[in-house]
Amino acid sequence: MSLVEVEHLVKHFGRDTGLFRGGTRVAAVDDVSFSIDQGETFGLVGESGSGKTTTGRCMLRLIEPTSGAVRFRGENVLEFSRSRLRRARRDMQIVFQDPYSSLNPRMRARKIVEEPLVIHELGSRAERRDRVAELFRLVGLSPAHLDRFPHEFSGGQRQRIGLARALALNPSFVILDEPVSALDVSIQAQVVNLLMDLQRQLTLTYLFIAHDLRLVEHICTRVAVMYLGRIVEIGPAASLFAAPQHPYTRALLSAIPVPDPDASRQRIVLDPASINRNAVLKEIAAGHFAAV
Amino acid sequence: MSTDITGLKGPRHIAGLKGAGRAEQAPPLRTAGPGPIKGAGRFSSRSIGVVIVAVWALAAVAAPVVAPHAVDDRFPGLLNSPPTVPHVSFVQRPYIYRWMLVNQLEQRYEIDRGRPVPLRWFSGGTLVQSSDEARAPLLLFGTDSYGRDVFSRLLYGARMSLSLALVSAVGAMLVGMAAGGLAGYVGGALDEALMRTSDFVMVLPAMYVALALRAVLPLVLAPRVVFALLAGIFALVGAPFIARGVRAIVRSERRLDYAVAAEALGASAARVLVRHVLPAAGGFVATELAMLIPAFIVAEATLSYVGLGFPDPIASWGTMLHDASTNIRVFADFPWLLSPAAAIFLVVLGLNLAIEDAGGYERTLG
Repeated sequence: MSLVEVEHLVKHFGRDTGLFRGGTRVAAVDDVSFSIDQGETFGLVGESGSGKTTTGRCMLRLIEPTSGAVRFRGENVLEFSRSRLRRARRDMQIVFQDPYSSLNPRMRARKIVEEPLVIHELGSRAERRDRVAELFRLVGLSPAHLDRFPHEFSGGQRQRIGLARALALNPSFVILDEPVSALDVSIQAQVVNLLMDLQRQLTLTYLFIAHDLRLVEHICTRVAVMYLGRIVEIGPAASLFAAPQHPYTRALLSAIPVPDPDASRQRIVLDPASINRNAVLKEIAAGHFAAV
Repeated sequence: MSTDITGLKGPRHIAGLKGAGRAEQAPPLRTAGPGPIKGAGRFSSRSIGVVIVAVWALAAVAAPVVAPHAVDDRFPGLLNSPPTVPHVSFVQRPYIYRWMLVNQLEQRYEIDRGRPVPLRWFSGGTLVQSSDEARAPLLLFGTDSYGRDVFSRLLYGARMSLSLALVSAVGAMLVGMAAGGLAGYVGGALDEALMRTSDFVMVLPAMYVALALRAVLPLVLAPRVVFALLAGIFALVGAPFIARGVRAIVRSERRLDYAVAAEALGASAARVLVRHVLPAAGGFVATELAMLIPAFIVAEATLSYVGLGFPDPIASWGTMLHDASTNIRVFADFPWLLSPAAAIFLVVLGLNLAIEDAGGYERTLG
């Protein structure tokens, strides 16, 4: 059963009008639809500027979308009142890409992780204290470091704090916006494993936004490929990686580095003229659609 | 900083447990470095600043007890007389020498070394006074052209000048942070309206506005009314400087992920602004206040000069400097009349040292 359904989501950014110039509009997200099942890890991939992050933020209404619908357990999030949205935020959370800007540099780790509990007035002071320590342990940090400031942690540790903050409210759906792309490769593996463990432990549903395709292949059940604000291919990870249909997907997959110096590489260079922007998604295999 | 990464605490605890005396403790490490280690030395510049400001604040509060004379006590035979220097010896009480006028026209004085005048503690309701107040008053910083004790007036002046500057600064801070925070956070038309208004206030020639305001008010005003009036004007004139910078900081900070994260957690706009984003402007506001406070002290002096300030018998550093400025011989012959300027300098220095580390900019650089 679908936990989240995104229907015809559109976000236009208006560039401001000068005194003598008309404004221009950029369609960052252009009629995007997909659904995410309970308990799955749904990958959203694409190059920088393809609209992945904007899609994620529109789903949480951190950016107000221009049109479309985002259904969470069947209810349209975009129609929520302010107080209803506030309650809904307990169920849908986000982890950011940049472990440096995503934590308030002037707050101690304890305050950062406690903040969601304070906002929603959950528990007494002592209960919150216990919960924060529990969350710290949950993400693999030592509660002895609770009184440190963010700058006293490493990038990987900071990302764990961001995760603890997102999990404080027991959400069922978490958007992971390139959660490991800013980390060293060795640290990436640790954080990814933690994410997978937590998913099992807390029965979480993930929207995993990434541009590291190997990672996506490794952890996602289904994948959507975005290009210039549209989904050009979507399907089960196995099928999509084995038989990519869209020229953009093929070019993207050919860009994955192969860890074998002797392997002959065939880098496909994308020819934008070969892409029909107006093609609609067609089913190619079971559950595998491509806009060709 | 509660986390101790300097290692300073450890050895001290151990030394304490063994019952070792203070003398055996290792001297504090002097380490140059970022963040928490700073200030580990015995005298950080910050603590020196805090001490300077605290001493002045204390002097202002305790003025009625510490000052040997009242604000308007005059010594008609001692106009522009030099300071009486207290002499300390082990065999007798501290004493001063009397000043004798030798030239009425030039107001030149000579020390009467023949008769030391002992000082008396806790007499006449003050901390210390001369034992012969009528003929040889204790004048630590000399007298002004009316024969009033400059030291006593400096202490009373501290009350007026510091409290006015402080009240004005707090007012400017509140108005400026509210306006700048709203403009930066909400943006759009409100931003335009607030910022154009503050531009307007900034380009107004404050002095003429003050004069115009003064003209429509009654000629004689109670000191309390003058105080409120000046504080209001200063706060409004100073607020735009704070608002402008706060707006810029809020505008850029609110787009950072930590502010978006707070929103995603369900924090209200007010909470995101006040709890998360505005503290980022702390360092800027502190710096701005350190410049506004001396400006307010000087502005009070200027306004007193044109008649909007405090009426004559009331002492403030501004009115004192104004009195001094009317005498061309001040620099050469009566330098003690410039002691309010030295006081302003000290307070400004102290404030600057005290706020040096405010806002945690070093921390954010991590």
